[in-house]
Amino acid sequence: MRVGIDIGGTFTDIVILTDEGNLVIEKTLTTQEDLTKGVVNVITKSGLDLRKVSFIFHATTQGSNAVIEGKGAKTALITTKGFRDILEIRRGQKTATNPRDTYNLQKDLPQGYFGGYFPLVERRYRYEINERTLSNGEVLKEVEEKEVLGIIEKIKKEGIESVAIVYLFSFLNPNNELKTKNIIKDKIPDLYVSASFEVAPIIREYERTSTTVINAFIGPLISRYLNKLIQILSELNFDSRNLYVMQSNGGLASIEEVKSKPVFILESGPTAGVAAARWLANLLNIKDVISFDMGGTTAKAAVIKDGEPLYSDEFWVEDKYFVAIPHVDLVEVGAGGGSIAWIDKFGALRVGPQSAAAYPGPICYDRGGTEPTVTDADLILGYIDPEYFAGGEIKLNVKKTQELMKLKIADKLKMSLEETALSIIQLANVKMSNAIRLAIVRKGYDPEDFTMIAFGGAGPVHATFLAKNLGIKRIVIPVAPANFSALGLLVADLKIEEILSKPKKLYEFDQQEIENIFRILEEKILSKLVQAGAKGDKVQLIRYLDMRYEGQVHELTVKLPNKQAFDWRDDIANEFAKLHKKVYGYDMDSKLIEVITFRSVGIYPTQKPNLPHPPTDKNMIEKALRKKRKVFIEEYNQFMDVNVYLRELIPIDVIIEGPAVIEEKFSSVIVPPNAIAYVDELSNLIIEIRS
Amino acid sequence: MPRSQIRKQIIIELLESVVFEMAQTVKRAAHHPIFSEINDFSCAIVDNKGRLVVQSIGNSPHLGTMYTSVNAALDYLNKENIDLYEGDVIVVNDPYLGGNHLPDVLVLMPIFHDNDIMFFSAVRGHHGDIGGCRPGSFAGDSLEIFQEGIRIPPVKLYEKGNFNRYIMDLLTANVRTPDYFKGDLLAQVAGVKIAEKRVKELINKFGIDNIISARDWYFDYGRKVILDEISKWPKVTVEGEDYLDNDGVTNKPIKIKVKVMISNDEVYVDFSGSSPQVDGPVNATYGVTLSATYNAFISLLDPNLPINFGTLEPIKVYAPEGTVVNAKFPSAVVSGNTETGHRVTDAIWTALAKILPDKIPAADMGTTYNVSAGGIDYRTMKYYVWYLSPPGGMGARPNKDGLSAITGGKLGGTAAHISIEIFETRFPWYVVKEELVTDSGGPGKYRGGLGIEWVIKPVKHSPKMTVVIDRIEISPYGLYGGYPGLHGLIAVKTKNGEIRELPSKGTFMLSEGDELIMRTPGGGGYGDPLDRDPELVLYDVINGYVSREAAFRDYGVVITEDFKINYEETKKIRLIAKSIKNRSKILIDQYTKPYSKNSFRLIEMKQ
Repeated sequence: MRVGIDIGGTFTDIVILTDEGNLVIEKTLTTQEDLTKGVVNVITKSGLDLRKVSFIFHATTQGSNAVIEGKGAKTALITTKGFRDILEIRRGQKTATNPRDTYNLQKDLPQGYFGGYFPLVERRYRYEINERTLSNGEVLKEVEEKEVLGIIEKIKKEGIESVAIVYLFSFLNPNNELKTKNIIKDKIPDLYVSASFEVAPIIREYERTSTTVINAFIGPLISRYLNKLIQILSELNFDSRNLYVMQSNGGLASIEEVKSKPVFILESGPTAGVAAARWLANLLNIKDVISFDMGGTTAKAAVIKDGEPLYSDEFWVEDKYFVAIPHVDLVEVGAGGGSIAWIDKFGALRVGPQSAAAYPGPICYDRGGTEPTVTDADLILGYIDPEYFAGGEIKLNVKKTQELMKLKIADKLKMSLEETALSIIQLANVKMSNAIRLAIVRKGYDPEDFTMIAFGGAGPVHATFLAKNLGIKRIVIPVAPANFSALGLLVADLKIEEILSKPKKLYEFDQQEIENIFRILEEKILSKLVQAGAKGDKVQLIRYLDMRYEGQVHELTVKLPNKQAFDWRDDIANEFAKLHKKVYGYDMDSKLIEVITFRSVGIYPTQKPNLPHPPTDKNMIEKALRKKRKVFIEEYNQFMDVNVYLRELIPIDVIIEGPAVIEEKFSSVIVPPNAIAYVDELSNLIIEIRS
Repeated sequence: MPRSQIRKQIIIELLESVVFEMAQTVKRAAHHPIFSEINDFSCAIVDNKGRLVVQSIGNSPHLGTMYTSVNAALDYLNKENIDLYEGDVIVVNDPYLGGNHLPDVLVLMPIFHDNDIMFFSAVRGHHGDIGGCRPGSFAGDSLEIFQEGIRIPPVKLYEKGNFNRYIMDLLTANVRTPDYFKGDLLAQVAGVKIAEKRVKELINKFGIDNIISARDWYFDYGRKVILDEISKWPKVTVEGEDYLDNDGVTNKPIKIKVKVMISNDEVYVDFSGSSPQVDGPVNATYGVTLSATYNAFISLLDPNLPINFGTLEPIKVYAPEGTVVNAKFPSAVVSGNTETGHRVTDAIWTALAKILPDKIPAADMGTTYNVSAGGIDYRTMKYYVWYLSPPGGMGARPNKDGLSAITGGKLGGTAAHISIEIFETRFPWYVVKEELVTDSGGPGKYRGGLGIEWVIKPVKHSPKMTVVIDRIEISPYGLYGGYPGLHGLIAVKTKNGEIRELPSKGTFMLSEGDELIMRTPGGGGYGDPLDRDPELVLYDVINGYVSREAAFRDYGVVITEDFKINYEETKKIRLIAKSIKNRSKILIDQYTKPYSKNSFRLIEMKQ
């Protein structure tokens, strides 16, 4: 038996995959004061006997919460002499994610008292060592032990709990960082120490510093949390060597790996949904997919291309803290379910950027929220079911939602409640589809070539609208879409990623040198995976190179071809040229290709669950047809009576013509005119939109 | 509210998304770090009258010049009887046709519907080199525009979709780094083309009438946004002024004089009384002055609200021809864009601070701090050019401290300062340090942001340097009793340890072993530093943002050896300090140079 436990902002979910391949799902409220309590609660509620469980897979938002709330360890930073302010100077950026902030004279940054954002390491705890490595990896000045000992005294005196070490060009030559780390570990063995060459051996000192500092900042906290979790689980007779944590890259890692690189699990939770979408896409043999996950308060999208999610190696936590680690490129799409609708003083209806978040949440949650949100609008239009929201954990308050929506928006705009709700949803949809379009075009692809896999409580509701805006022709809605994300924990594979920056022209590399670098990375991966319980011969190894033409700043990641030609640098060059042409419309002389970073990924596949089969009796469709319902149909710009079907009764391969509504326990789908819907053999609901 | 308004809002959202897609396309296809890393480009969709509908914000000096350039280009084409066709792509960089300066090249594409031009897609971007007498085309010593690079009138790089390679050949033959130039220009073309395609799709989907009515609704909305803000201001005329250090030719300050007249439905900004145009390259074109004026007002609006033609239109600008804020052909203008533009905004804010004390911040670094170098890389034996602007302090805000180390100061910060590791890998240079400068933030109840010190040295070669910097002589002003921020510095430390200050504008050679010291200005302070919370002063001292000496001297806070506040002494000192006449005038000497004191005092604010 295998189990997934996902701690989210509002709920702690458990998914159990029995040895027969069946799924059991349970939810409790997250216990913010001590997250492990919620874990015990949800296990108790599910009646699970941990002695029968072979593996537990876990996702948590603890890491990103600690960064956002600034509640990590008291951290020190040791840098090359002359560069302790790299962290605070942030390469001069006032904003990285919102260009409109150029004109924002009230902007706050993590620079001190005002705005409440302290740098994760205060300036007084940033220490310098007179050492230097050059841009060719040569050590100009070695670390002197005496200097490090001096800093160790200060660290002890100040009560520092965690240390980050970042020296210039350590990704080329880690000797000085390693020596420093060893001296510190020797003197204070229990201190948490992160060296940048271990956490993020990539070029660009600010990006590497920020990432390593975040790692050090959350490291002690995550370690304590995991230790406590292990203790609790072993009290329930579970062998914690079989506990794995979801990383931001969509793969699972062992506890030891996570303790030393906690920065890899910052996006742990939302990534599970993408892992589920990837698995389903591969099962259905669909290559290019947009994974769209919309819950009650947030909406996230990811692009899956050729069966693999697109990765990114950088993101900002709240426009404040930079993280450079490989992760599934999740896009927070413009407006989520929690986005607040409001009327600005010039009479325009606006949606977001303020969000009601998990607390107090939308009005309908009835937890003190008073501002109408997208989820409230969905409720008013009957798109979500007040009785079964989040598996019945929250009963939605329809009356209060209608009252406040009328008072705050509808009356002021002199519109009916339904029209108001519809306007909110249309605006939210266009914002979401814009964000998804950008995520796709940024990578050089066309949204029209993609299939959408939509899930989360509200994902199916909005999917058809988004698909139309994006020109997408096919939507797949998996079984139990509201719990699909948690399923991701059970279908993810063990995954270890090792990277190394070594900037040089492709053709200046000796062919053997490329091979050797990859072999070193792969050996590290194999030993980690084997340690985590994988069988070496089943591990799949994939090689990537981040490359660009001389003079460019942004790299493209190229998956290396498997075949080994006589000189496979030519193959690499060809792959790169092909990709570059696709993304930018042109290619250049292959002599200009620069390699920046080597990436090696090791994957050890896990056993996958079965999906239920739908009814086969075609006559069941008459039972599935319930009643007619008034639904606003955008194409005809009016409310219409349309057929309503109950999803679980729809037999396989029977075509339902739009307009129609397909209802299920947690969600519902509007099939627009000019579209058809049917259920496939794995009970997925497929919607095909004719243009 | 009719449902058609929601449709208008949706159309605008979709147009916004088009400019973001343009920006992504340009950014990812571009070669030079100025585009891809420093983000010095802007994308826009303007209507057939050149009116700004939507714009991606890349670089604030581009805000006004989208309008002036498109109009000037259309006038030019009209006058020359040149017709526009579907598939045409126009390239122009002439500052005297509404542009910023020669390195800023505008690529423009008409968007047709039924044989009529309805919109233009436009990408303006800063090229690493546009020719002229200095590498990087930031000639600090140019005396006329012909020395600043190649001047491009509106020409068709594509006609009816056909590429004109002869124009490209002509251009690339005139710049130092032709591969970059070509790659970046084609990236701009990719940007305008994707926008043309997308806008046509929207016209097909919604119909041209709905698109036009969405545009009109949006202009009207933008107009309401600014008029609402202006309606809260007193209807008065206020005056202000600020100074540039010099023009690099004559060592005397250059005055920007401004009169702001506020009425119910517009603000009228009159630059009469500003210095005549100068010999050196700090002359601003009308487009630059317009952008800088827009910036001064736009940044006072709620950052969640849009900026379009409607928002900008009520801001009227009069800049007499032949002055430093509206120079005549063929004067040199390359740094009018980067330096004088700053000072125009600063001057307007000295005026507005008198009536809007809760909105206007103290002065920031006030300079783009352009430094460029060219030479032969000993590793490849190839010619290289780089161009950088290290970040400096922002002024203190009326309610909180200024931000430290922001590239381009008050209206910058989307640009990233280059990574040291990328810099050393790509260029034969060595970075000695990059750190915040203690005591560079102007003292005040709220402290100005800190400038940085960036020290670099050439490896195994002697590069040719060009610098155009300001606020080296005249410090960024403080407001309401706040002191100025520390002025900038550029200097060479020679092999034998001698430190030699360099002029703020000009060219020079460095020798191997020389260190180039660049110190960017800090921001001015806001309010009397004697009113600053002693706890905040202590925090600054513990973290080295402020020295213990300055804490005592400027803030009147006594901090002991073991970093505790001596409250009793502090109270005494502050009482005495408050009673000293001319206290701030005496102490301000720490932050300004003797040369600039008189001009500084002119802009000091009285409570």
